[in-house]
Amino acid sequence: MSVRTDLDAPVRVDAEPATEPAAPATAETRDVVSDDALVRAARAGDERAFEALLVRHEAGVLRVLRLLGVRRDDREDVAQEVFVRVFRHLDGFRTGRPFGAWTWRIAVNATHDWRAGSARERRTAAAAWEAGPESTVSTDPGPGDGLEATDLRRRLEAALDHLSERERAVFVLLEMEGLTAREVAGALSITSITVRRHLGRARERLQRVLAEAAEKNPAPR
Amino acid sequence: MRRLFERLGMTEPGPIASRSELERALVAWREAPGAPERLEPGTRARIVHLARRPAGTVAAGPLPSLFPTGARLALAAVVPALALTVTLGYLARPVLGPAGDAPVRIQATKVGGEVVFEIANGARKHRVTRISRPGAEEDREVLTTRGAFRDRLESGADLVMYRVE
Repeated sequence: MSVRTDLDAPVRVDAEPATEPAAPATAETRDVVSDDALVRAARAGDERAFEALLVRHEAGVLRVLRLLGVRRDDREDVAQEVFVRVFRHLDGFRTGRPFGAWTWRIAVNATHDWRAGSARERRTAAAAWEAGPESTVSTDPGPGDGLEATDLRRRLEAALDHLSERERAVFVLLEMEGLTAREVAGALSITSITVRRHLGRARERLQRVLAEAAEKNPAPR
Repeated sequence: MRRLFERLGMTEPGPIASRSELERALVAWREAPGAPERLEPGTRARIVHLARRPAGTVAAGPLPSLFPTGARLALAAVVPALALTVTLGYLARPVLGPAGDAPVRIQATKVGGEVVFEIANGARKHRVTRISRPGAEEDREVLTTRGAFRDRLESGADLVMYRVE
């Protein structure tokens, strides 16, 4: 797929890409160097700070993209678009605030553009639920994960396809990623009242969908 | 019961089984949200490369928003009108002289040994008075319509003021 034409330009990579993160992103320095410090260094043109921020937050962005319904095939491209936007607008980030939440906001917007740019939404919506496990849903069990937990998680992620775009963004950021209602309101440029309204509808719909699914096909225990 | 919940602005809870199904699923998800995905190393390198390209070589564009198209159009219609109102209000405010005068912009620049004043407020004449000592005035020049007035820059650290009328 092509998300943005500016991303389709030929890219010259001077060096063999490192499979391991650069020095600022190693496990040892990760706990020491704050996001704010990395942002300041990146603004000053430090390429390793860019990479460190990327390595630190790529899993979170990819997870949120998955929860927002971006298919596995497109996730890498949309994530690339997210981080290019993040780094190009780094001056707009207010240090002292959570950098991860800021990247999620941009991920929500990039997902919106991704949906608007094609008929993917029609292909993915409802199809996930009807077809069972689908590429937007993580079926990878976590460490020590039971069969029931994996199934519950898969059902929840699949049920998200029954929500509207706004309801889904609110539910994912608030209930699954742990942002406050105020943070979600800021991220989505809506009021806290609207956040609560969307959340109420999302919960109501998910409860109904999950209950119906449990009746049809009880979760393994 | 439904009316009570509606009056309180709350959603009536569904059957116990359905509510617990969602809560159980959320608990399961929060405890283990799945194995983390990673970007391909080549994608990382490409992102850093694209993000560091000089402005202008790519169409950066503003951060997109979730504003619906209608809201964007309404905003696009309101902003120029607002800008025009603010501009007219700014131009209409009295700056020098009696209310209703056109605004005056004065720029002072040091050019070699001279200080050059440029006064832009249309084709008007101004009387510029140099004040070297408080209470003592010495007339220097009456400006032409082009708004250029030059004065010799004296050496030293004396404070010199000009009054534009």
